[in-house]
Amino acid sequence: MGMDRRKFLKIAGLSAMMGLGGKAAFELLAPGELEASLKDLPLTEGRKWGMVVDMTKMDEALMDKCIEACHRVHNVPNLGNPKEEIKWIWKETYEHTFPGQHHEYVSEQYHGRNFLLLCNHCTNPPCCRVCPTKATWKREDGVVMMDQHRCIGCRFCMAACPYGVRSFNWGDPRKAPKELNPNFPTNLEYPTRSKGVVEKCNFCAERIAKGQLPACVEAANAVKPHALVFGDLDDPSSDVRKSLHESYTIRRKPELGSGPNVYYII
Amino acid sequence: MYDSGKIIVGLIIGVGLLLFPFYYNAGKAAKAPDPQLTPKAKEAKVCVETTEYMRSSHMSLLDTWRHEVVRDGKRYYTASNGKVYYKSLQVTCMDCHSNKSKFCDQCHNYLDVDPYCWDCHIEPKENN
Amino acid sequence: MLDKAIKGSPQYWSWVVFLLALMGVGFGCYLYQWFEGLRITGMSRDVSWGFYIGQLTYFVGVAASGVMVVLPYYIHDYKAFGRITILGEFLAVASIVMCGLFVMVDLGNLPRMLNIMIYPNPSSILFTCSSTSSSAGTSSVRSERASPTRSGSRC
Repeated sequence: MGMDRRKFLKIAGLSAMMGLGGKAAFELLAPGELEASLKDLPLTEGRKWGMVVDMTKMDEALMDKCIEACHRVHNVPNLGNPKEEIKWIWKETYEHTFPGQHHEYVSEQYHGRNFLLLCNHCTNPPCCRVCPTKATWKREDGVVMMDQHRCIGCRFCMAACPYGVRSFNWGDPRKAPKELNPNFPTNLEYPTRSKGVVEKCNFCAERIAKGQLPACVEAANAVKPHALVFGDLDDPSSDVRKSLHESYTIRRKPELGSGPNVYYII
Repeated sequence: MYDSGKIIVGLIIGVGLLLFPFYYNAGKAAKAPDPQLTPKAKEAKVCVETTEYMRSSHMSLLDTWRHEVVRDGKRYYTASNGKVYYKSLQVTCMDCHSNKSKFCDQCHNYLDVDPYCWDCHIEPKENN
Repeated sequence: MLDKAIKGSPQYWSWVVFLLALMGVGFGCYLYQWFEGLRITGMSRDVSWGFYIGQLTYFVGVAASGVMVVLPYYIHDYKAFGRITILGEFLAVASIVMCGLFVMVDLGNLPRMLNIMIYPNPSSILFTCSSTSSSAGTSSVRSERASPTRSGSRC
């Protein structure tokens, strides 16, 4: 070899830097993802979907209707086993929803009461940061989307999500017990999932693309309007902004910096 | 050569195993695929693209659709004849080609192709 | 080096056969997991990472420790470490292989494993993890092969 080790290492280091820097330079000259990800603002443009859950209008029956609607529209199976449970939207007690807020003298109307929980479609989602294949990513319109074609089932997003909104298909969802899922699949226009992929609420991306409201919002509106308010957080005249303006709202675990976009009116 | 006895015997066994599919099926021909169109498909006369294109490239079309729908959010496809279709295997494709076992499976089974689309996407219910 | 692995006493061969049988049992269990899904592991929605990930991190540590043992002999030319170097190297190679295999069995959808390479997401720690462990694996294998002077030492 005509070259000595030191020279070789210098050349290798320089070419590695140029290779890595070259891609970054290319991206910077053509403004795109690299630039956008360097800002701490989300990759949203135009709309920014968010939701307000008005717990003053919610009761157990209405929450059950929302859950049933979502799980029906998306073929979410009822596996009957809390370990393998798949849920896109569910009920959780006050203590578990807002863990930092619980104290000894909580009013009777909140203590032990169920709240409606779903994916918060955070502004700075930890799940998207850790996905090794970008099978989950934050869309420009604010929806944290799942691509089940690309998911490798590593469950890192489940570990990263601070709110526990993600479920993994531990087994084949089509093998769910028939007694618990009489008409499975309940929606023939939407696919089921296979085993080995993670799923979660996707703000009914396929419905909002057609201009419809998410299934839970539509189910709630049929019974009690404005119990669930869905809309564009960037539009000051939207319903969701009006709700946020009229009432005091809190979010789940805001101290974590993930920026959840589901607000609760207590 | 060294160990020529073992090598030659091993070669004969190896080549015999390798050629097994050929001499086992010698003289028999598998039935050619015979995909049949539903009345709805016949009425539509043409698929999203031309028959020739669909025959050669429906897999890459579906792959492109899958990428565009899920990742780019573009759910409508403008075909080369100008018609606009909703990009969905279950809703659009299977609407006309609802006889999966007599249409899709004919060629797929012949070529031993097992697309995993159906692990998630719901197959249309057939009456037989 | 490999010819030393093929010659041995009946006790040696019975030990090898026993280990191969254990590997076979493990492979059979993995086949069961392939068909049934990860539900057979007993992990749940709340405990989505368990023994597999624990073992992954453990064996990465063991492989790194192999590097520590090997360092004085190669980098500092301290020949007295020659006899433990070989143990360290084989241990490192074996544990990095185990580590990689633990990742693979933990994946819910193994056929899509290469998606990490095709669609990389540099902000993910797993991406860093997979690239460093693959480079650690190749470097330990390469150090194993590129040492003609060591074959003289008795194992």
